[in-house]
Amino acid sequence: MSEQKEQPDLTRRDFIRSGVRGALLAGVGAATGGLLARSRSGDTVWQIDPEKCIACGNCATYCVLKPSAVKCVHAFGLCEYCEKCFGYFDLDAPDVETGAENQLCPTGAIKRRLVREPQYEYKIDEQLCIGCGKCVAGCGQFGMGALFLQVRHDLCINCNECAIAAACPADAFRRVPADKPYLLKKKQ
Amino acid sequence: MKKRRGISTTGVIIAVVITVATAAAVVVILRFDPTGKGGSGLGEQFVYDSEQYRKTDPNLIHYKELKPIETGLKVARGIAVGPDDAVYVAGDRKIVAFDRDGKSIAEIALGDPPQCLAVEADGTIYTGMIDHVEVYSKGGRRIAKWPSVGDDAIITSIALSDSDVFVADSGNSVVLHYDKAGRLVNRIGQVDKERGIPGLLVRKPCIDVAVENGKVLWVTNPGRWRVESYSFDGAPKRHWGRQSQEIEGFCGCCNPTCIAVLPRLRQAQSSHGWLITGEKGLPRVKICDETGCLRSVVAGPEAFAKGTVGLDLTVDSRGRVLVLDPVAKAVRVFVKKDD
Repeated sequence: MSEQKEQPDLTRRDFIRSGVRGALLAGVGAATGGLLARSRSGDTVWQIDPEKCIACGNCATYCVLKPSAVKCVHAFGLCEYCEKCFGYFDLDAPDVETGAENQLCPTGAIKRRLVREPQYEYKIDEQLCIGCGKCVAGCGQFGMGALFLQVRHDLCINCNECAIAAACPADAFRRVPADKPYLLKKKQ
Repeated sequence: MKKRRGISTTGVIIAVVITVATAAAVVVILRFDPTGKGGSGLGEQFVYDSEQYRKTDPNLIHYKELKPIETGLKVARGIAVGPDDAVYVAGDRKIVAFDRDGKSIAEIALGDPPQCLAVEADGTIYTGMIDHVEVYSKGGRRIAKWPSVGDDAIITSIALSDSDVFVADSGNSVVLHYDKAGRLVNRIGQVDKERGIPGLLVRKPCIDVAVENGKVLWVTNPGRWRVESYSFDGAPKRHWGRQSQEIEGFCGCCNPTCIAVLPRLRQAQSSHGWLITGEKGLPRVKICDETGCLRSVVAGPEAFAKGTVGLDLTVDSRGRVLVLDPVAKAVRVFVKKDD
């Protein structure tokens, strides 16, 4: 009969020590993997082609970040500074009073100020914008399309597989060079 | 004595935890939608919905559509009616003409892309390029090229009377009044507080002009959601219109984008012109009387593709409403249902 070696008892200290060692190894592995992934996608970043975007709302909910890294942006060069902007006012708003009940944005993320009668400037408060695209749809239907959605690269973590890109029904997400990370709308 | 094996509290807790975790995992897996086909999941308040305005009360639609005239153009911009109700369409870098039955009768090649046109009773064609007007004979020979209106000019419409040419310059928010030789007579529609003219307010370049009975000039003022009439010396006469998504008003931020004067045979003993108006955003064509009261819908938003922008329209001597649809690249022909 072979003699069985007696296994030493695993002490709590040993358990913690090996656990920490394992966690460190896992951390180093994850960091290396992350760096590798970053170096692979480092030359390009995700962006929305505004000409393809249909403002479906998926950007608000499919991003791994909460709130989404997608925000509405405003091309001032395209904007006509309308008194009754349909990116700002609800479709059924009876007048141009700026009460919350007349505003289109559910989070109140669009601010307006008088420039010169009857022209108004509209600005996006990115802290409040969740990227739902409701204003984009309104401005696109009735106005100049000066409001559109873009991935903000101060927020985006540039996932290899962007969850919004996978869920985009209009195929509007694409990778663009990191040194030209925005796809801006231009006057037709 | 054998110890009786029971269910320990720990075991129950573990079983409950496993069950709850499994159920949660199943729910997450079932709800997981990486393709986005299930929609955003956002509440109703986040969804932009204008569908309610895309439907028109059928009782208001007094027109029916006939077979359209395919223009064969890639970009169709302007429409006009000429002698014998011939239909002229400007687009690409040419003018194409069709007889009243839609048969192609002429094609005139142009050097620049035309934006709009108007045709005299003798077949002479006035076409607006971006910044200047060119005049062509009935046979397609260029008779004149007028000087540029200016760098900021965007000519969007031309209307004619017996001795006048009215050119809408949306770039400068003004209507330029010329004689037939191309000499500038005056400017109409500019801000003039003394005469009570607030000025033409234009967002997209879409000022349209039409002449009523050779005496009155009608101009769209889309940023103010109204149409205005002027005498030929620039004195304001009347205006009507209001903003509303409802069919009675002009929708969106800036409408109407096009107008035409309905011929007298379609009017009920009215001494003033009834206008046919076209809108964007909710593309729709309708007829209003001299007070702006809605008399009929020619075509509601449901008759056009979503996102249709850039309609132009005219009317022939028989009262057929001809709508240039830039998405269909065709002339849509509408006649009264009782015709």
